[in-house]
Amino acid sequence: MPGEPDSCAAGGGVPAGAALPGEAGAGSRPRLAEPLVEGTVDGVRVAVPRGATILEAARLCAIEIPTLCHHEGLPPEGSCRLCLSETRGSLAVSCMYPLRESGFAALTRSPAVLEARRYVLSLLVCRAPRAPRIRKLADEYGVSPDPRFMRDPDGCIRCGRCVRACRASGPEAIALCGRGFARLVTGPFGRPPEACVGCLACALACPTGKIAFSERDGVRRIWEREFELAPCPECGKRAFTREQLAFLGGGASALCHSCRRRLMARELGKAAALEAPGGPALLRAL
Amino acid sequence: MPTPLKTIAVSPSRCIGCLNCELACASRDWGTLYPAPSRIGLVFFRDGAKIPLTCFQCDNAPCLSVCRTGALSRDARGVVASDPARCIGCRACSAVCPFGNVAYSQAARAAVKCDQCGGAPRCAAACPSGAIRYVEDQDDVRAKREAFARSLKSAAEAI
Ligand code: SF4
Ligand code: FES
Repeated sequence: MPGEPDSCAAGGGVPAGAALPGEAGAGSRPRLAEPLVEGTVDGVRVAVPRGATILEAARLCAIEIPTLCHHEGLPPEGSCRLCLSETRGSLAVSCMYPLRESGFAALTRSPAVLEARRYVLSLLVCRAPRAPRIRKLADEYGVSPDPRFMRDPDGCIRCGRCVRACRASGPEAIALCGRGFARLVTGPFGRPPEACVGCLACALACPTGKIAFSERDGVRRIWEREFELAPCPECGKRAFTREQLAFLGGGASALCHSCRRRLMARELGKAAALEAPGGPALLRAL
Repeated sequence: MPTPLKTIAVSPSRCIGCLNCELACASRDWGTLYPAPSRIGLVFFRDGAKIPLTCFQCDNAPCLSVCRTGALSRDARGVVASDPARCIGCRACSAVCPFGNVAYSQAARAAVKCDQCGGAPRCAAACPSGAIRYVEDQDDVRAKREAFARSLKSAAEAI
């Protein structure tokens, strides 16, 4: 099995709880066994398991809070600050703020929240002015980039979703390094990450589409590295990189899922035919 | 590990190859009648034999054991279900399923596999000949399933 058993818990604000070996454990799943706590989100009454976040409570009420760095399958990090809401008279990061007691009253669109969200967006849009999702949000909130912070926009908002996705899937090939304007996602020592297996989880997790990759002639390129996509021995379709198959070990193979299903059916048919009356004749037909 | 209370039982000898199961499955989230993203697959052989195959909801499910984000989880009915919101697209589950029952969908940006439609499988409802049935997992079914699993096991070793 790839990764440490607790690889999801590392770096997350909320401990993963005791995941059984072999059963997946996500960082933020509220324990269903927890007692319910009651309160309101924008005045809507709701009950959630203790420890659930404001974001989860809001979603239960069908109240939308915009998010960027949050991913339901990854431990929360609270790095983009877009999901701010107001509770107990101050701003809270909705995707991380745990509701522990009854009587909570969160506001997701109060004047203070909207003002703070606009400010956060004016900074994010400096980092990724061309990303469709950021532009849409900026339009929606009527925000334009703050020129003081417009330095070499590279499309990355430093939310760390890629890093968390990589850590969760096992290789831990990339990390966020440096501070301030120098902060960026990179492999060790600023070089192409050696531990990368080319699975694309980082690129798919990125909310701005910053992580570029390409696939041509059976070669996938990402993070300035090249990965050969192993051809399915039956049909030649290329689904996995050799590195990812090696990383997964054991049962992983380059057979694509439809060929695997077909081979399984053929072997099944053979096994059944052996036991059936007139078996050998059936067997030849398969 | 809980065993599913009800199970999708397949009788290849009754299959008439109409593909209704694949279409019913594929139409589920994409609203199309295009069988490629189907979670159930009909395999045809030259002699006319047809075998519908879908997830066996393995007790020690390899897909579940490699999923690190909780996108795959076993629900109260013992079924391994997938939650697209938690999927990060690493495709490890697809690479390790010995039976080819987990696909990665570009459209859904997530792994797709059979979750028995949450208790009312469309494939069984669409099957006109009783080749796919959704039945109580009682002892007689269980015995059949175990026999089936044994032949699968020898088949898996043969591959
Ligand atoms: S590359 Fe994308 S996912 Fe990674 S930190 Fe930057 S914006 Fe976030
Ligand atoms: S979504 Fe909550 S801080 Fe980014």
